[in-house]
Amino acid sequence: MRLTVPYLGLLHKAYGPVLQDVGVKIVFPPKPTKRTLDLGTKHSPEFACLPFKITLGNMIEALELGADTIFMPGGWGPCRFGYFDVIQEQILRELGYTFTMGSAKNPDALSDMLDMMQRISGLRSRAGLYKLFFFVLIRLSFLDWALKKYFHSKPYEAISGETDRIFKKSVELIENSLSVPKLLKSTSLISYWFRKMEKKNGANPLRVAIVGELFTVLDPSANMEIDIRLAQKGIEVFKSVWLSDYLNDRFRFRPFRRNQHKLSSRFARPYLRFHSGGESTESIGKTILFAKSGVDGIIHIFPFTCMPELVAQTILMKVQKDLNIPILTLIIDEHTAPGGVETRLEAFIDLLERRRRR
Amino acid sequence: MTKVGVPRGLLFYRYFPLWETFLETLGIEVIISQPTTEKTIREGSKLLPGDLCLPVKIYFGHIESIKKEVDFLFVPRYISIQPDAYMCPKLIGLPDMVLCSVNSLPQLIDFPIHCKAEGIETEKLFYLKVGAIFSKDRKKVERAYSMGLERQSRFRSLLQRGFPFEKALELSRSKDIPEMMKEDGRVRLGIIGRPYYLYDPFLRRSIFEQVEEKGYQLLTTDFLGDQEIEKGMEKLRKRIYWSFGKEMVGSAIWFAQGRLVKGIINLSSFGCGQDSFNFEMIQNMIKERIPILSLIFDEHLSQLGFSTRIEAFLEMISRGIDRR
Repeated sequence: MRLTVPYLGLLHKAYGPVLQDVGVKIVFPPKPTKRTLDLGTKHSPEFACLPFKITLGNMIEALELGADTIFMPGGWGPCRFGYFDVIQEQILRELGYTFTMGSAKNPDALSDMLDMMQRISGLRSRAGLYKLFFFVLIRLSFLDWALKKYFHSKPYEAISGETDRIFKKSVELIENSLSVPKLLKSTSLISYWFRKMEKKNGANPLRVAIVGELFTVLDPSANMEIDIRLAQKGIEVFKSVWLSDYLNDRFRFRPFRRNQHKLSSRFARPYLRFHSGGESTESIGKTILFAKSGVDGIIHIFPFTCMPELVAQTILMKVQKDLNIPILTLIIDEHTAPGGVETRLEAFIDLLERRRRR
Repeated sequence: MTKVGVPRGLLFYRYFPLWETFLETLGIEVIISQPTTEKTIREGSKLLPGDLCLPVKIYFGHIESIKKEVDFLFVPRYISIQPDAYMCPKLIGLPDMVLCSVNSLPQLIDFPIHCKAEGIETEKLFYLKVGAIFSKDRKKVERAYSMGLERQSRFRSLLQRGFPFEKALELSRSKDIPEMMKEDGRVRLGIIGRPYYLYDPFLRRSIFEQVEEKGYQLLTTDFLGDQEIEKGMEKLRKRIYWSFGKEMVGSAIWFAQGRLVKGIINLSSFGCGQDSFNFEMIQNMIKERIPILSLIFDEHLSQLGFSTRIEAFLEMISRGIDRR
């Protein structure tokens, strides 16, 4: 059994070492490149969304390296993500690959999720699996936490490049913390590093929030690393969705963290009274939340043909007017060039700076 | 008399007989917008982001054209009409999108229909809520609803018998339903698409006329009942969780397996998220049995582009028949 999981942000760092530690053989797909996207696009339906195409590319490249089991959770809509596993399996079988597709009957239910993991990981003990699952989730939330720390420290750093170094060290440390006590020790060390970092005096950076569809907000292969690029320009970055929050809304492994979906829907209610799939509620709710907390501008990013985010985009046009907050909409597909995105980012930042000066 | 406006778009093409009879029985004047034209699309496109699909833009164009003449605008929120399936996210968010992007609107009638959450009673609840706006008499509202249901089922069975949409709309008003259209021995082709593609004369252009002129009969997804579609679903590894997706894929499978048709025309909208997956399923399930023609329309659709491809497709089918 050689398991592979398509990339999504920092997820692979959370599950990889833990599963390898208990003896599951994992094939990491090669880092997504142009070839990944080309392979995915070539074999996908034309109007499938970018996350579908990139994850399909990941799968093909992992199968080429000898993987024989794929994890893709599935779901029940109304977003297309719940049907990814079926269509991707169909396409891969037609290409002649033999493998097992691991998808849950209902990925929002813990027992179904664990059933599926038991099947694809070959682990026997249910209790052990339960512990493992939550340990991975906790690691994931600490990784997200470290990235958040990075975004909130980078604009204030006094020595150029120090935050990047600390962040890289932090991720490695969390990656190698294979037990709960070790993990807790590492996190206190990490927060010490960030606290001790030399800060610029009187810095007042621009604040930009990235909202939109989960995959494009989180995964560097889909968003052309706009988050990192903004941070490098000395801008403080916020995000509307984090994978650990998304999973926490379902599995409640962080009892003191608020349910972010409920929080967003409270703020979104004047504009969107029913959740219309995907991250539409988060995009609208968090935009309002960020705008009220003094963010300078919003970047709304989502894949071409994404249905829930198109609803959000239509509604955000009104939010933009009502709250007087600039929104840059980036719609990403396989033809989007990093250069074009860069130009639009720069123009947007110029606009935000001018608004600040006024 | 109170005037309620119904935009001629999206679910109008599925539920209008029910809406109309219900509202008229309550003594309300129902105003429908005029059929789709180029102008409808222009008006709708002005209000919305460019990447939204054409049917939604058309819907907004219709709202723009009647919003001034009516007291209420009928924009129900269809979230799910079956316990196991959703509608498209754009339909779920439709009333919110209308409120956010159209100016000087009359009051909206936008109660939700959510079968997944409220169970099968949800539709009745919806009509009771709508009725409560116009009449205090609950008995009267319930009677209006059951009359609406009767007309709706007559309308659906007329469509099933192969009557065109406009004809079925008209004939369903009277209680006596005409005889079954006779099997006339013509070779049959299937056409797959959402009702708001297939029955909007502007979107479907003259596909129906062109095919029928060549001596074929076109069967729509309405030709099949829910049972057949459910049976089609059983062939899949995982049921499709969109109502129209179920209808389209289920009927394509049924068409192909029962050898009901000699070929299938699939009509879909540019950039439609669901159709991309549905068509992939259809292709995978039936491509070795019968030929499929896929037509995709967008704002710049032209009759000529469609008819050339249909002509070639029909040519291919007729050769296949001759050879046998």
